[in-house]
Amino acid sequence: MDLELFSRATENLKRQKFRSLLTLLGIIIGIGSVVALISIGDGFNKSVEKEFEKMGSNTLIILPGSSFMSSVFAKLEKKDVDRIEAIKGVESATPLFLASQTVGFKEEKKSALLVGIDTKKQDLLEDIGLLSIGEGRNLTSSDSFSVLIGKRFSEEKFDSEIELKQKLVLDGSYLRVVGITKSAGQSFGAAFDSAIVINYKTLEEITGEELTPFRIFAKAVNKKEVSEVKERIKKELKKAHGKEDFQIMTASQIQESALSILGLIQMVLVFIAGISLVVGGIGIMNTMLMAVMERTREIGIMKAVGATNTIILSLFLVESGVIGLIGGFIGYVIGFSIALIGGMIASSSGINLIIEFNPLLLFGSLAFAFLIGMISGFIPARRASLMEPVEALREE
Amino acid sequence: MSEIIIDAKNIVKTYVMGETKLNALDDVSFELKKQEFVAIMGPSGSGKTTLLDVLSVLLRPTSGEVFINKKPISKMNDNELALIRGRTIGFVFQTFNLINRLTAKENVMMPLWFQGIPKNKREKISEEILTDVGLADRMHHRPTELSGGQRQRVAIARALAVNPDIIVADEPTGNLDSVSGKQIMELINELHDKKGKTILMVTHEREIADHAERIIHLKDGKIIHNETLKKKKITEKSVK
Ligand SMILES: Nc1ncnc2c1ncn2[C@@H]1O[C@H](COP(=O)(O)OP(=O)(O)O)[C@@H](O)[C@H]1O
Ligand SMILES: [Mg+2]
Repeated sequence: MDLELFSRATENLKRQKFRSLLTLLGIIIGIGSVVALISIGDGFNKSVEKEFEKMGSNTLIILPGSSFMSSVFAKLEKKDVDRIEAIKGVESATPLFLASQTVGFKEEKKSALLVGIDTKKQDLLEDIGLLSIGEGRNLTSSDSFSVLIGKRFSEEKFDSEIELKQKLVLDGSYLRVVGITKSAGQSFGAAFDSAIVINYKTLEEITGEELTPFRIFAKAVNKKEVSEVKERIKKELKKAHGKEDFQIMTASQIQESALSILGLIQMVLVFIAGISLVVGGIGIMNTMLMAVMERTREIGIMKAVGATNTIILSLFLVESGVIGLIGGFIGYVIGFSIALIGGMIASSSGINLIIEFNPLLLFGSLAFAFLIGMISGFIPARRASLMEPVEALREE
Repeated sequence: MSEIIIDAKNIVKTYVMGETKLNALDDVSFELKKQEFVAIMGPSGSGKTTLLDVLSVLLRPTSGEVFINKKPISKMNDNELALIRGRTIGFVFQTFNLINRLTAKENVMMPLWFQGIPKNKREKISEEILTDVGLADRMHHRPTELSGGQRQRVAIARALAVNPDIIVADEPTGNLDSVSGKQIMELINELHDKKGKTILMVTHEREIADHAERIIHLKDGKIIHNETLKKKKITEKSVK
């Protein structure tokens, strides 16, 4: 029997195509969204992991404000960089400054983001994966009006593409483009990708303002020591500022929080998918109840000629399982296609989303859908199996 | 004499409909011997079908006991009864009870499927039997494409598929014209005379009942007369 149960079940399903298709909808949507979610989520996870791999797990980031909310008022000081560098276990530290200015190129003028860096420390920025040069050269400590621009900035900011050695105008001063950063698809380099990278001292000169770091990046000597180093920095800065108006994050911490937010979103969406699966299950149950009613006489005949309750039960269980399976398969194909399309859209807008085929997800969702079908079909199948043959035969 | 294959003792079958109770069978006892041909006669509503269903373990009695090959069915669960039906009893109904979406051959194959017989063997058996009942050229037709007589042949073929000892037929000619009815009766006679099948048949037509060796007369759920016909002899020599 075994395999023949399947062929019987599909035969029966073929007879009621349209109704089966409607029934499938809930399962298709449910499985489809689960598959899309998991695929996209996995892709995102992988991207985040890759990003942090590059960044290195011994990186610490110091940001102003005790929470993201109050960061507007709290400020880091330039001196903090020296304070941090002086701490035991810290190899090196460097600040990033941020300013927005109107920049001219040829005939155009546009507001642009400027990232001020300490030109003596680009090696650290390169080391933690924030900055890498694609064309031209990096800044050196003697550069003041020479700048780097992001790949994206060079291509998209102005009508015509900015090339090496061309000049930008900032508040009457000329900035010479000496290098273009590598296209950074990822989230952390993204600021550089669409910005002008400049010696922060020049930035201060041009704007005439004293700038304060909006981030300080530090690198611990030893990976294993990161959390101790973090505590030391915290203690030192607290002493210097008189209060804890800053935050220190380690790469692994950021990674964790990014992933946990993602996990939360996924959970909510999985919950929604779960609801559509329940709806789909109810749909299957309904279809199977109708099928059992319609085939009452057939059940009677089968029982008269020797079908046991067990056979009838498995016949209908397999049939409802196959409905689930078909729905699951269609759902998988749709869900995975959505994930692939999502990945392509994300990539084209600079977010690196790695969508990969995962056989476990395929078999998992098929098995899950089959199971849902069987569970939903249990009550109808049981009803069929317990029918009195004589009464079933009397049915017209 | 032959051994008793179905033994029913003090069968009562009561139907309850709201306030009223109806004894469709009222203390019926009956023995069916191997290779006998027994007809059950009686007016409409006298309990013929009910008795046939109880004797063929399709229906449990309200009280009393049915022994199949000496085994009491009250001790068996529904699955065991299904297995007994599947192996030892072949059913022929007045309304044929074929599955319309299956072909003749597939209908005949079905009981064999429940016996766990592999597909190629099922096909072979079904083809042979359908040929035997004269439907070699109708195997792949669906019941709706067949005449009444042909449908009943398919039903008989299905009943024979598992090679059961007993064939149970409830008014097998009731829905047929007289010509096909006659042909079906010839077929049933043949099953008894040549194949040695035990036949239990319900009819309300005397002419049809006359094919049997013994006639049970039912009225209001009771056996009122047990008539033995002399014209036939049990042809034990022709048994396989
Ligand atoms: N499922 C049932 N519920 C109630 N009454 C029934 C049922 N089946 C049969 N009966 C009644 O039992 C009596 C015997 O029925 P049946 O055995 O079909 O008679 P026959 O086959 O001789 O015409 C009839 O009065 C019939 O109405
Ligand atoms: Mg009847």
